[in-house]
Amino acid sequence: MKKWIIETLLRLYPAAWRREYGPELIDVLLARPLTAGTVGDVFWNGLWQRGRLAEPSTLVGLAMLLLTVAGFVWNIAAPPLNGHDKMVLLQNPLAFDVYVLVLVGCGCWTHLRYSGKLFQSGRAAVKVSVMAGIPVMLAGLLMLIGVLGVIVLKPGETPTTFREHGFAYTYYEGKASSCWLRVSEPATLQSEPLRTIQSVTCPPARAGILISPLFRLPESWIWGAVGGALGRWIVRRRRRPLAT
Amino acid sequence: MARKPRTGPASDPELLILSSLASGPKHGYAIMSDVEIFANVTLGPGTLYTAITRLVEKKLIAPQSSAGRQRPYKLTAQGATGLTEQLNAMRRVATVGLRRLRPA
Repeated sequence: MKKWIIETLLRLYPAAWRREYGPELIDVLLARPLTAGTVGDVFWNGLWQRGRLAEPSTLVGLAMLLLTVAGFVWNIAAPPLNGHDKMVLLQNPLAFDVYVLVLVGCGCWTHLRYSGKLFQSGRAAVKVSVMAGIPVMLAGLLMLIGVLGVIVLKPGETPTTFREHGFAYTYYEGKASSCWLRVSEPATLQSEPLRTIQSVTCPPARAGILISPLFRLPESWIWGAVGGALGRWIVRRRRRPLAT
Repeated sequence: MARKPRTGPASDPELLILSSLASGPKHGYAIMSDVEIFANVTLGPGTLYTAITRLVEKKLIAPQSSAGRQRPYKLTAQGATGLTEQLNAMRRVATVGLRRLRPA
């Protein structure tokens, strides 16, 4: 049992690290009582080693992915009141300043770590965007196949509870103004195409939600490259000799 | 039961490992036992090997070849210099701090 726990814990460490230090750590762990504190210590340090050796884009992307998932879960479990919903499935990418800052930061971090070219920073930001977009695309897919419902509320309406609405995403009509990809429901498109283009009914089409993260990729690349340029500037400033 | 490490620079795992290796090469388990004796600090195995990894990367310690699974680590010249500098700096701070604490 003890050996199994130790081997399981060791799997948390990166493979290269395990090859180098794994046998020694196993011997040390086998020679000592395996307390909860020891397990916690090995667990935490395993995560730390993995994080340390991971690419910045993987870490940032994972954080964004978890944040997006948390936003979805929160919306489904406890729908926010109108005006308190910070998460919009389809939004103007440029309107979300924090997201842009994250992409710039990731590009900068990538350049500072690897001193690569700008396209590498751009690629890192694209990776972040893809990872953050996975839950959105998954939600779109679940909406398309009818597993995840969509509840549309008018501004001021009280959202229903999870017990009442089940597995459904709550959306406020007022959010239409911030919609970026203006795709409407096919039925509306057929009956009132002009009105659809002008006013855009919410919620956006499920297919639109599914593909919306893909439209953010070019912009993500640009922000990542901007971050890379910032990283390059920081490196140059560090290298510049002090004026005498 | 593992003792909770004291806080402060004297419980820094890297400093403790370097101090332990100052008396000669040791493998991981021997470093842990030595640190427990001279500093009264119990380093967790994960913490120990994370610190060892960092010290090897900084070239402050180096693994020696061994027939067994446990490789001994030895202090490099760079590590000895770094440790001396750190301990001297700590001694200066400790001397001043203790002198100021003394009643006039």
